[in-house]
Amino acid sequence: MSGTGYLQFTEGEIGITDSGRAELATFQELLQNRERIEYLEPACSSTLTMPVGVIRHALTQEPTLKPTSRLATTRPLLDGPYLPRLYDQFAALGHTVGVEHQDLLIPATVWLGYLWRASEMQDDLIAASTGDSS
Amino acid sequence: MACFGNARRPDCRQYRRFLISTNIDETAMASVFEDAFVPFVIQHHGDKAGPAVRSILTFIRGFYEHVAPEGQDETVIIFQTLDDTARPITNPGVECASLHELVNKVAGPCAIQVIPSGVFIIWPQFAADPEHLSQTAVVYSFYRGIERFHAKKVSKLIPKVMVGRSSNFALPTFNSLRDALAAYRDTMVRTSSCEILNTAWYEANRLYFKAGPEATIRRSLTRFLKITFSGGAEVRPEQIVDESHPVDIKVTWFMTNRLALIEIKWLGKSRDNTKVSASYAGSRANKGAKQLAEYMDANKIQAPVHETRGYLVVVDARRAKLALHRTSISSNDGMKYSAAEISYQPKYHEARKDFEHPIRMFVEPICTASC
Repeated sequence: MSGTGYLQFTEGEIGITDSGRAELATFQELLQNRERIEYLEPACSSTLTMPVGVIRHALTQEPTLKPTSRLATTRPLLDGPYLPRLYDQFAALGHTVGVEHQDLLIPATVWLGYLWRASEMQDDLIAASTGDSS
Repeated sequence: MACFGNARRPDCRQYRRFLISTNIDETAMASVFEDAFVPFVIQHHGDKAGPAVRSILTFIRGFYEHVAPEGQDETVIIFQTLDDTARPITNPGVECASLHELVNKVAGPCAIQVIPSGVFIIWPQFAADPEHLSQTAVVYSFYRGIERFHAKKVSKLIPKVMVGRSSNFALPTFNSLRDALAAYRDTMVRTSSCEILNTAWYEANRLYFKAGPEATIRRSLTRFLKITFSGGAEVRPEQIVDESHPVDIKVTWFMTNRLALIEIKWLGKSRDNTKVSASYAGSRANKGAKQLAEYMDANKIQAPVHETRGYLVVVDARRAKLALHRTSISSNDGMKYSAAEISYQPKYHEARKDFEHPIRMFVEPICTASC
């Protein structure tokens, strides 16, 4: 993105350039993308609510990514035999937080928090199994 | 207003069976929901608070890129009113357009109102009442590592997602360096298990250093910090801070305005084949503290917009009754200084906010059972 001039680095900060803003506006106007914005926005905003490293670690517990990261292999996103488990989590999430409110930042942050807690529990289990109690 | 939690959670066998079959921990999920601050704020202020939550979180992250949470001893209040035109604090504040203007303004208790147009108003030395503000605003407070969101006179503690972090919203910098130095002391120095540090000794029992061990110790700590902060900070040895003096190690964090200067001093004796080349007692640590304080002052002139903190590392290899002919040592003599903390005069770490408590790292010798 910086190579194409859409982003620029200034004094350690990354910023969007005028040409980047124009490109973004073009993409936002496309009908197919417009429908996605309401999902992309809360997904991006969720990175404001907790450290990015925590989110990265939490997502290793996402049901379709978990077996892939464990086996260090690659496969298409949102595909394969574990996909129903992801929708099971979303169903449980809907029951826990409710589905009437409009701001998807709420289920996004709760889901990430849940995955993070799951990853912590897994770390504890690994530590217990290897005898590392510290 | 949004509908939340329990009202939607069906208490039916079918749902229970679903949870069991899918291995989903509903209790954990409900607990995360209970702890989460985004639902809390929107529950109290309604969906209209969503943009304010995003705006204030963006500001908080930028704020901590310019102001280290570790250095804040007083309450910091950051708020955004739901009505953009509202100004709930009537005292005159300082209007700022850039986060760079925060440097040197955040002193004592302070309040900051975030305005969606991109500016913010700061009230330095002002103790705002978060409860009062929370009636019409989304309010965040920070006090000595305790973070809360406030809405409609109710507050929600933000649980730490990572133990030891001062703020969930700040990149780890000063606290993580302190932790890294403690880890270096405990895992690398105590038994000289670092392969670089291990080459600094004149003999295998770690009684004397070789002459001039400074460079080896510096290289050992530099490598440890480079590995620890890979990607998050630049760690460079022997960096000039004024016209003539290089500090041992300088750590510069990316994406923030934070710097750390590390001065290393070693205590004990060094030797060559014929004589003791240097012998340093606790007073050398005091000289190191004074030297570091001077570096900090010089650095303030060179890098005025950076928040800098000084760290004095004292590698302590003092042994009792150490004569030139000795090649072994009893545990009584070898470990005599293991718990002998150094008394600093003056106590820069108490008098200055930019000076961390010096960290002494005792290196154990290999002792004989009795001597």
